[in-house]
Amino acid sequence: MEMPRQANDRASHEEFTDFVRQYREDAFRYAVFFSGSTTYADEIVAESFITLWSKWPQRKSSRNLKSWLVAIIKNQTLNTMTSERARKSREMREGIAILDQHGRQELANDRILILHECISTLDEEEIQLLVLCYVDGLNYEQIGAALNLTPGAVSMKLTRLRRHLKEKIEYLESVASNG
Amino acid sequence: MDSFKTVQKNARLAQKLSSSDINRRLSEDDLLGRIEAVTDFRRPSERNYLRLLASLASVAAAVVVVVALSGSFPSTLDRRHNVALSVRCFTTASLNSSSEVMPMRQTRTLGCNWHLSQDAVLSVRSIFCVLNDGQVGVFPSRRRGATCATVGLPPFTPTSVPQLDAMLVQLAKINSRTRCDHPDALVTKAGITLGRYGVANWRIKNSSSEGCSIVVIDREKRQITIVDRN
Repeated sequence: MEMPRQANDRASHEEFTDFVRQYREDAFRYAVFFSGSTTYADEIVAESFITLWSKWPQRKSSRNLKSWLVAIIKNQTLNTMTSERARKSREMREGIAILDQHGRQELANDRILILHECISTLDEEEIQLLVLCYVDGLNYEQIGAALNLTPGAVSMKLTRLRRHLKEKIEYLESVASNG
Repeated sequence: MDSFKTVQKNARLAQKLSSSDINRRLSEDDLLGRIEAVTDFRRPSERNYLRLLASLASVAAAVVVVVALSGSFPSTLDRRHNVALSVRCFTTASLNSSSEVMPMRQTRTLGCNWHLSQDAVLSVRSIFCVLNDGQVGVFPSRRRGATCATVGLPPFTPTSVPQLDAMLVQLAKINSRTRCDHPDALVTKAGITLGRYGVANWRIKNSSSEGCSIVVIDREKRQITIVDRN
């Protein structure tokens, strides 16, 4: 891997170390949320923080660091799961992978991949809404404070987001079952 | 099936993870190590400095305890009054154990000399408390966490400069016109005040009958007397 150019000042290292310590657990939970499994979460989190460190000099304010981390984890999850799917399909072609007789493993993977496809289409604010509501378990007021929205706006956006996700997932599932 | 359940299922899975679950799978050291392995990021080592500073602070605090009792008081309050400082040294962590009054100059290094071997001396902590007569009592203890509460006395907090004025202000607040204070309670309150402000070599004298009492402060005699309110 190419070594990122990094401002090697002590404050930068300290700030990043503190950030890792503060958000390591949250990051792991986000990775589980996006990937639907604990299997790849450690790899996703480590890769995400590595990416974050390579871009650390570009940080603008500490307020947005968490949103930035969430976005990186989301992208890293999609990358990891895509390459994992490619590996699995290669193994299946080569007869390496053994599925159970009902093909449950494949079905579960499909559902997760459909979810990934949906999530990949969401914008940053929608991702933040999902994470703050479902993973961090915050109420509308707390989410509003974090995203500078009124609780009413949070409620409305979440309702739309749920509907959008549900429709998208159902559509992709129908395509998958027909295909 | 409601497809949105996949989102909720993932969220439940994520929320269910405890800190120890996450630590088991990806500890802080592991994560920082992985980042260090492939980037130029290096963990700053100031945590070790902090630990070192904390250790030094503990040692300094221990030294202050000994020095304050052995040398600093005469250089501030007591030298002016030309009063020889002394403490009462107990042989065990009990008020019932034998004790002797020792001049501070003889207790300069280790507080009280308990006639112990050097190894034993090093493992013994000195606990400084305020006795009911206002004197500083020093108790030996090998038990970690032992405090003056163990022997039922207020703690004495050595300070490099005893806060006499603050102590007198606090003492004056003890008396109440409406409340009926038992003399024993006032002895305890006076002891707590002496200990809190690190004022040694004062005396607490209980001259009260068992009725409602007040404290009378004699700054010249360095004495707190408990007397009947009426």
